[in-house]
Amino acid sequence: MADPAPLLCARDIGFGYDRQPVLAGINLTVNAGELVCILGPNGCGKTTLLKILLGALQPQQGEVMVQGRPLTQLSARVRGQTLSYVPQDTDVAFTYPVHALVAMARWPWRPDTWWSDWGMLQTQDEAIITEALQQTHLDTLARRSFQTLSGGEQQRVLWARAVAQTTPVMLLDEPVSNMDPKQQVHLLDGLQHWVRAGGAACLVCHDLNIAANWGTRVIFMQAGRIILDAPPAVALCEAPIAATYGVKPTFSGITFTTEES
Amino acid sequence: MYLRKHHIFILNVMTWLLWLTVMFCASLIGPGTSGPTISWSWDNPTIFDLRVTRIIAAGAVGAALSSAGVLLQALLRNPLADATVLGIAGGAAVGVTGFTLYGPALLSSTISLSVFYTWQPWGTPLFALLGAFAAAGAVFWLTRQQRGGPAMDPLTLLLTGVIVNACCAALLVFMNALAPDANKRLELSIYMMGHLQDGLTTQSVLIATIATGLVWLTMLRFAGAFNIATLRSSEATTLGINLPGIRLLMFIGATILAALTVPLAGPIAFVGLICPHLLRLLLGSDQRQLLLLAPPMGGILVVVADSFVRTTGVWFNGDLPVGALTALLGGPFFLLLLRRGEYRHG
Repeated sequence: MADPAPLLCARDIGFGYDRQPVLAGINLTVNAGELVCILGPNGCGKTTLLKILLGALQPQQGEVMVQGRPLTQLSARVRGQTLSYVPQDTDVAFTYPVHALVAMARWPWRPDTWWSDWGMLQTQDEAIITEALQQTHLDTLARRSFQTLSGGEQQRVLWARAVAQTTPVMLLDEPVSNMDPKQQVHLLDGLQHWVRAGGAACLVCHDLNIAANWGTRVIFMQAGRIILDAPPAVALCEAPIAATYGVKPTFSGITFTTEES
Repeated sequence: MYLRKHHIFILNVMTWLLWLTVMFCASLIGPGTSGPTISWSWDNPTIFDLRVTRIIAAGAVGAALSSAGVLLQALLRNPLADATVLGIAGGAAVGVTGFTLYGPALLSSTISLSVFYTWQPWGTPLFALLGAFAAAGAVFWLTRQQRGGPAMDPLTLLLTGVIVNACCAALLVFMNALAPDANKRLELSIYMMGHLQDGLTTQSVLIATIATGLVWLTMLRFAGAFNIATLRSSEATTLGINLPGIRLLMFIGATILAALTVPLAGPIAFVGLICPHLLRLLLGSDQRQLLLLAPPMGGILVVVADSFVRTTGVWFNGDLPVGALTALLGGPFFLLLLRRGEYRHG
C-alpha cells in the first residue's frame, strides 16, 4: 500500500487582492506529527496563506488538498471535522458565554438527522467540551461573557474551541500574542502534545523563540514566496534570519522551561 | 444573566400563552363613547369578524417584524439593523402602493376590475415581496465587495440601506401624488408611521399569517447554524456551516417576513429593532431562543398598541397610527435600557 496522503498539502498556490499579487508558487505539505511554524516580515502573506489553507479565501491558482481530497470538494460538515482554526483575536457581535462559544466546535459533529440542525449537544459532546475547558483552565470562566474577558483569556477560549473540535489539522494565527509567558508555555505545550498524538498544525507567528522551542519545521516567507523550509536547527541561524527580516539576530540562549513554578 | 434550560422552557410556554391571552382579551374590548369599553360583541358577527381579523393581523405583523429583526441583526452582526434600515420596508411599501394605486388603471385594458379585486389579496403580498427584494437586492448589490475591501462591510451596508429606504419613501410620495384615482390616495403621514389598514379582508390576513408561520418554522429548522453565522467569516468557515448558503437563507427569510407585514400595516418601524433587544436582555444571545420567543414578544407589543389605538379613537379625532404609539412608548424605554451598564447592545 502506498503512503497515506499528507494531512494538508498546498500545490502551487497563487493569490492576489485586486491584481496585486500576494502569494505566488506556494508549495507546502504538512504531515501528522508536524508543527510547522510560518514566519516572515509583516505583509509577506502569512495570514493570507492561512486563510487559503482553511478555505476562507479561494486561491486564484493551485489547490489545497486535505487528506488527499481537494478542499473545495469537501462538504461544510467534513471541512469542520477536518480543519480547526485559532484566530489571533475575534469580535463577537453578541454576548455569548464562553461555554457557548466552545460548544460551537461540536456543530460539525452533530448527528445527521433532520432535526439535528437545532444543535442539541450529545452527551459525549458535553464531555469533550468540559475536558477542553479544563485543559485550558477556563472551567471557572465558562459562564462569563466572552467580551468581559482579557485579551489573553479570549485567546484561550479560541484555543479551547479548536481543541474541542477534535480535528486532525489545526491552523493557528498568532494564538499567543496577548498571553503572559506562563499561558504561552501552557498553550504551546498543549499544542506540542496534541501534535505528537498525531495532529498536524500550521502556526503563524513572529516569535522566533516559539519556532525554536516548539516547532518541528520552520518556513520563512518573504514577499509572497517561501524562501526556506527547514528544521528549526537549520533555519534559525544568523544567515536565514538576516535574509528574511533584514536584522542581525543575537542568540542569548534563553529558553522557557515547561515546568510551572 | 443566563437562564437554565427548564427556566427557558417555562418562559417560552408562559410567553406564548400570554400572547394568546392578550389576543383574547383584546377581542373583548371595543371603542365606547368615552373611551375603551368592555363589549361582548359575539351577538354582532360583523363587528366581531372585523375585530378578530384586525387582532390577528396585528399579532401576525408583530410576530413577523420581531422575527425579521432577530434574523437581520444576526445576519449583519449589528444591533442597529431592522427592516427599515435595509430598504426592505420601503421597497415593499412602494410595491404595495404601486399595485393598489396603479394596478386597476394599468390592467383595466386586459382584465376586468372584478378579476383584479378577486386576486388582490394575492397580488398585494406578491408586489410587497417584489418591491422588498428589489430594494434589498439593490442594497446588497451596491455594498458588494469592491477593490479588495471587505465584503458586505456592515457600515457601508447600513448607510446604503438607509439611503435606499429614504429614496423609496420619496418615490412613495411622488407615486401617491400622481395616482390616477384621487379617492385612493393614501394619507401618507399616517401610512408611513405604520397603521393597521382599514378594510383588511379575512383572506388577506390569513394568507399573511400562514405564510409568516411557514417561513418562521423554516427559519427555526436552521436556527442552530445562525449562532455560528454571527461569528467572523473565517471562523464560521471551519465550524461546519455553509456560510454563504446560511446567510442567503437568513436574508430571504427576513425579507419575506418583513415584506408580508407591509400590505397589512404599512412600514412599521421600531418593532423589529426593539424586540430583539428586549429578547436578548431576557435570554442572552442564543439565536435559537431568540427566534423561538420573537413571535410572542412582537405579537404582544403590536396587539396591545393596536388595541389601544383601536379603542381610543374618540380621544384623538380618529385612530392614531399604531407605529406612533410603539415608537413613543418604546423609544424612551429603549433609551433607559441602554443607560443601564450591564446591557451591551448585543
